Amino acid sequence: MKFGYLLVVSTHDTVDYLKLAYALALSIKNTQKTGYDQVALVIDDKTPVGELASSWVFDHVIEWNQETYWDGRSWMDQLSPFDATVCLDVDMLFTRDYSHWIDYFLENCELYVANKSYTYRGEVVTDLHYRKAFIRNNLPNLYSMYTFFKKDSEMAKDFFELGRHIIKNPVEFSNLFLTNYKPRVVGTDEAFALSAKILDIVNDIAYPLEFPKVVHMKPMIQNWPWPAEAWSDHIGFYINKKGEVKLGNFQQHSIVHYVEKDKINNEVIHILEEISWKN
Amino acid sequence: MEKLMDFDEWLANYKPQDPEYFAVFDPQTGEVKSVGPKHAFENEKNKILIDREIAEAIIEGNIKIGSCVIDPTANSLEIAEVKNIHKIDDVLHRIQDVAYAADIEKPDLYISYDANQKTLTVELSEELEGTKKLPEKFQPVKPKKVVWDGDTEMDFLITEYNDPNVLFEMISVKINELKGSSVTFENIDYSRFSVYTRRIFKNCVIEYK
Repeated sequence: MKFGYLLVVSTHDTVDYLKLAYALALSIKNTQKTGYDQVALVIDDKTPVGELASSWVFDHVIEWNQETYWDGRSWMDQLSPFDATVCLDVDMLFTRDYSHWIDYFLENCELYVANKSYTYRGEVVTDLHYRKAFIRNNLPNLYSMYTFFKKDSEMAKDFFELGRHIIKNPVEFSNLFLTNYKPRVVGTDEAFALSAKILDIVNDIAYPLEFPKVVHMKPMIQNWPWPAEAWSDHIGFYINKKGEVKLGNFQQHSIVHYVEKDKINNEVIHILEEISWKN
Repeated sequence: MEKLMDFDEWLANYKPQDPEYFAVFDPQTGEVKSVGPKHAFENEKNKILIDREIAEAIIEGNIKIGSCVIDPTANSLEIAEVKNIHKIDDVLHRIQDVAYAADIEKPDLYISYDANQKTLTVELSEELEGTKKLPEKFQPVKPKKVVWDGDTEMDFLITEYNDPNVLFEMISVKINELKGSSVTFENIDYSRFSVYTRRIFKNCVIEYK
């Protein structure tokens, strides 16, 4: 079964999402075993991909422009060139080999959506600051940032189809299902959670596991005793020449969802490129 | 008799308004007095629209109202959540490699590392009465009139590349020593390192030769 990671980006006025996807793809190539390191990129204009120093990190480049920004991720089942896929948010970095997670998913799951996240100190996130719509509407706590699925799965097909329908009709679904707290935007997380709830498949696709472990760097969920607008006001982001990441003085071993897009600058890219060239 | 719209059609098209939240503040001190929905403050003069998430966090007690101020200098009038915040980048600032600092055209502080001689030289810009010449396009340079305590000491942490948690050594320079001259440190013998400092100057760069 052909497995790979899927990254979906589109052109944005202020954020270079291709650069973020490139950093993530480099980090995947630098850390994952052969057979677990395939990366497909979906992008609305593939011209700039050819300008990257190591564009080979993208094993597949698919030009597709039907949706903008993150909405494109809800089409992941139709866009992926792989039999089994993990679709990722692009503002993340891999810090070690996670192929054993994939072995588990391939053997046991048709569809699995991350349902926990972690602080940079490795604590499970319990703060509900960004999840009010989930709690008040009794939605499962899904994070679309790490979604595993098999292409031939009927359950996955139904799940993504309904998710797309929710994203296309946010007002109707909010008025019917999110009455206790209406989110400002019905994003992919809300759509996936609602889709799982309506289809009654939460226990099949989001049962408790100790992985995938993703450190979620939204600032208000870091268990700090003060409010924070940006996590980088309080702790540093350090990536050494081996591509190892520290946040503050905590070495990171999980996937780092760094959130602040400016963390990936030319120097970070250069570090990751150098490692990939030596491998 | 007026015909009522079909309920399902109404529900499908109904779009509730997002609630708007306001903060009432003291114009003299910027202190936030109260936060609530728009209709609660119809008669208040000094109020500003604030972000829903921040408003709800204040109302729920996750952000202390006592630590909120309105910044009158910001045109957007945002809530500054915490007074006297010290960002980590101010107290532990990584001096940027010139190779990646194209946006810093006029550095205030310039460090150069000579890998052959194993020396590290610290200079101030000529704009700050130092010795580092600015590029031709900024000539002639008009010195800035800056008043500071010349005994102020700048500490530089020489660390593992991009990791201040691994400290190799620390060196110090007084600002007075950089007026009209540079300071050179010898025997700085590391294959790859970074330099961190407290951010006394805004624009600091290091060149590795």
